[in-house]
Amino acid sequence: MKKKILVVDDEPMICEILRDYLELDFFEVSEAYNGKQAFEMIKQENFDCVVSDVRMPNGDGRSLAQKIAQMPDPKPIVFLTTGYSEISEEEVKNLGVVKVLHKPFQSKEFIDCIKKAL
Amino acid sequence: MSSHRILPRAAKDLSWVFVSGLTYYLIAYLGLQLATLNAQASPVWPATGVAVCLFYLFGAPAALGIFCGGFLANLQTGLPVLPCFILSIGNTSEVLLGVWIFKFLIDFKNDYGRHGKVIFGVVAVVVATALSASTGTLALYIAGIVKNELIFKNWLTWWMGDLIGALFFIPFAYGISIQKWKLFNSSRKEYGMVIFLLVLSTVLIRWIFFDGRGAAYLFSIYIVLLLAARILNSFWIYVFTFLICICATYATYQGHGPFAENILNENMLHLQLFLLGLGLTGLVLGSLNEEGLRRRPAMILLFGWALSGLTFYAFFKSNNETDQLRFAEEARKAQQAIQVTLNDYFSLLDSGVALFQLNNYVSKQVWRNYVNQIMTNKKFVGVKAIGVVFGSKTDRVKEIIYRNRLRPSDVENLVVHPIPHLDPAEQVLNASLHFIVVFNERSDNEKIVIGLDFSSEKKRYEAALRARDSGAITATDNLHLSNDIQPRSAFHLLAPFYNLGAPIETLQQRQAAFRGFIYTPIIVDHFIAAALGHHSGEMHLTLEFKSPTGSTTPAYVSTSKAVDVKNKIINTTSMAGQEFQLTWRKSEKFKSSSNLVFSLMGFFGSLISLLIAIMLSSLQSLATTAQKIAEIKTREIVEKNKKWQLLTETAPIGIFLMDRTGCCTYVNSTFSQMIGMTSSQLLGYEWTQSVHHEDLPMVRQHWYELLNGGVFNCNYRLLNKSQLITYVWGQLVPMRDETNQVIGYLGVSQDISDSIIKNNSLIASSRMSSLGEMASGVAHEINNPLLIILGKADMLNIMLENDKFDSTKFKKYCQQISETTHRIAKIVRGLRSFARETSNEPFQVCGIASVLFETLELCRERFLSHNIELRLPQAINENLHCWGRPEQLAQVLLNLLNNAFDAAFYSEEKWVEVHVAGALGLIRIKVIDSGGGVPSHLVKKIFEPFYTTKEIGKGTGLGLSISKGIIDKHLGQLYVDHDAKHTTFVVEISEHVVNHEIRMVES
Repeated sequence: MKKKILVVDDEPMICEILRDYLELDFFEVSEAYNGKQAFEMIKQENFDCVVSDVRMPNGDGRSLAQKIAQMPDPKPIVFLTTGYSEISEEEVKNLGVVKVLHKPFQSKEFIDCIKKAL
Repeated sequence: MSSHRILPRAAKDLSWVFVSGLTYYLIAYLGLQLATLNAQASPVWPATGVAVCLFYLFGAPAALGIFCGGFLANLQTGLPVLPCFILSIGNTSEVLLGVWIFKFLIDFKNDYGRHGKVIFGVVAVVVATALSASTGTLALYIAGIVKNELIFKNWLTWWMGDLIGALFFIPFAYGISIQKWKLFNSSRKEYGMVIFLLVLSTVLIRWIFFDGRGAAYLFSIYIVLLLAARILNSFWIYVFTFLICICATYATYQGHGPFAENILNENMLHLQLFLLGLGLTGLVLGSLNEEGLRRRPAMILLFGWALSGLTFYAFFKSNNETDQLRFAEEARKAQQAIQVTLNDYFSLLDSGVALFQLNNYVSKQVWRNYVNQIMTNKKFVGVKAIGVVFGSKTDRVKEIIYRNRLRPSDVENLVVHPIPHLDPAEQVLNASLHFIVVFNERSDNEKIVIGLDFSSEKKRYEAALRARDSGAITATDNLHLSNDIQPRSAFHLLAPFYNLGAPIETLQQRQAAFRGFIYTPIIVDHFIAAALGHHSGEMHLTLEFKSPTGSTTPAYVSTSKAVDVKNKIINTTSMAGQEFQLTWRKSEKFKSSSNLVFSLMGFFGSLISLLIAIMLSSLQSLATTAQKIAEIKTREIVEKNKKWQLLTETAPIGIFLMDRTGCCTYVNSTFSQMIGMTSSQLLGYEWTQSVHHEDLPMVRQHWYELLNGGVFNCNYRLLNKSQLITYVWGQLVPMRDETNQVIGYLGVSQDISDSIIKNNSLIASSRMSSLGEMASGVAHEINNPLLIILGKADMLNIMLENDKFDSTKFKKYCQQISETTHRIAKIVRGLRSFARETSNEPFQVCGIASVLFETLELCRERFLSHNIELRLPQAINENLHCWGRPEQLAQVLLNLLNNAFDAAFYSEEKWVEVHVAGALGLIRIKVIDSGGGVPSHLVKKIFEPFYTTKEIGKGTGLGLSISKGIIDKHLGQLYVDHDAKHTTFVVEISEHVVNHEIRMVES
């Protein structure tokens, strides 16, 4: 069975890249461009993992993670950040985020991380 | 307590009682010896002074001693016990009261200083002695010695006596106790002065009191005191005062001096007034002496005394002259009265003679009538007897009687009486003539006593012969009447008569025709009493018979006491052939014309001079004290001034004073360093010449505002002579005069170069931190595109590896990589503006458009990637320029845009608008965000450094304050527009018009 991954980022080209990476490893990918959108999709579909950018307009990664954490069956989240101090270790733990990846990263890194998360 | 402890104490007290009692008794005895008014009231009463000293020395036992001593002394004068008792109580309580009052006043008001002691002492003495005088007078009144009319005089005498006794003795004793026999301050000058003063006072006292030059020089005695006050110490003043007092008293008692004109009690009152003045003067001089008697008070005193002395003398003289005139007048009147009486006697004799001139034979009846007429006539009250004497050659009385036709019955009743107890020396032997009393009528009885032969006694015989020879009324010499028990002075007046019709021209004729004489015996006392009976008794008469040889026999002396032995009038009159010498003097009853006036004048004169001298002395010492205080205060002020001066001079900030036109009148060293000129060069220098020309308009603007009620409080730059810039914070404060006109300014300049540097470093560090922020932002911005490039490159790789070459996809990926790279390049370009340190770059022409766009490059991506709409003006006028530093302006805009971004990010609507407008030489750039706005109370605060609402680690908060600083430096404005709906930050800056031609050359 193919795992479903939801990719959330406000920049479309980033989503493209991520999709390309994931599809190479036979994951099913859905895209969302903001937190709100992402949450709607989560509610509708059952995803195995969520990969999200931290800073987005219209609902950022944090709020999304919070919402997911409140769900009955929370799925693992992976954060992608552009800065080194955007999010602290504590917050990461609190929000139940599995891993944080710093952009830019290699495809191998990324896939490994996803696999670990699952 | 054992008995042998009490005993010595009691014994000691008892001995004090005894000692003081004895002392007081002796002094009181002495005083009473000098009593003038009555036996108890003495105008000289040193006992008071002595009593005070005894009390001071021994305390309460002395009081008992005083009581006993006084009691005994007065008892000895014959005063009964009860009055003595009252009197002694008065004497004792006077001492106690005086001491108590003095202590009370000293404690009560002790801020009168030195003079307080004198004033209070005098007050105490005056009141206490008044008490004693009152009890004494009361005692004497009870004893009946003092009658109503003399009460006041008695009281006055007593009071003055006590007062003077106290005033002289107490200072003297006090002086001795203070000095303790250390008489000098050990200087030769003083020895000499004491001796000189002793000599001087001796001379003056002798002159005034004993030589009779008296009244005119009386006040010169004060010179002694003045000299003592100037050169010696108080002790000597009191000594001399005491000395003068004793001498004056002694002299007056002996009847010498200017106070010896009247009866003793009056004299003493005058003396006492003078001594009172002297005593007070002594006291005051003593107290003035302690602080040094200065020239001016001394002069005043001398002048006052001279004036008083003159007044005293003038009144004294006029008083004496009036008295003298009246005295002469009274003498004349009295003399005249005597003459008149005598003339009356002559007339009565003449009428008797007339009887015998008319008839040869005068009957007894006729004679009796005549005698009765005389005796009942009030005019002849001094005539006690009238007789007839017939002369004959033989001494046969009976024959004479017969010859003269007396009745035979009369013969039986004849009594012949010779002069009894006649001194043989007075007898006349072998008289050729006989003068036999035939009729002799006395006023008191009927008996005819006749037969007295004038020729038995020398004086009578001699007078009879003279009467016969002269034919005029003749008086005998002073003799005694034959039937006078107490031999009083008397004389006979003989009026001769001759044979009827006989010629009596010549001596021989008279001798031949002599028949007899009428005679009347006159007792001088009665005669004078009759003559002066109605007179006031103010005259004292000494009547003497004067013999041809010049020797006088006293016949009469008035019973009243004669005073003023110097002033006497001696008249010699010849009455009835007998020379009489009448010496007129003033009797004790002689009323001096104006009583105490001249003494009072003298006293008040010296009192007033004393008061003026005290006042002057106090004023002078006050002036000296005031001067000293002023000196101290001035010194304090100068010291204070020095402190402030020092403070101002060495203050680390520049302080300067200038006049209304801005020229310096004072500069401190810091300021002169700032300006770069010396203080002397800076005087009159217009300080604005040192203000940087760029800051000058602002400075002038602020100064103008200052004059219109604002404040001058701003930063500017000073250029010193070597063109070095000093950043200063300056404040000007106007100085105004009473009419609120500006007379100058006080300026303060604080060198803020340090804070400028700090500010610059803050700016730099802020720049660094914002650079850091920017860098992290840039890094942030770049990471996404980097991921894209990496990803796309990976895809390219995978495509090639997997042999799934797709040219369309290949092209697409390459394009994407290319675009993304450009994106990164743009971002990096924006960093350029942070690459250099720009805060000291020179100002230059800045194009607003280019600055804006460059800034936008730095953040446009961010806006885009966060979906915040960036609304820019359609077109910005390329010709808008300003004068400044483009990098700094870019920094400011970036700061504003970042803030706007943050505000928009967290709000519903997300947009940021930028407006640029240029009008009227002013460029206005607005950055508006969709955020909620700045709360009004925070509007000012946000421009403060370190103010931030961002979370920790996110912002340093320096942005807006630095931006404001930069805009300030660009002489522009940065503020929040309150009226706009959304948060609006406005940058205003002056437009700099650029010459196109130049611009073209530059580009």
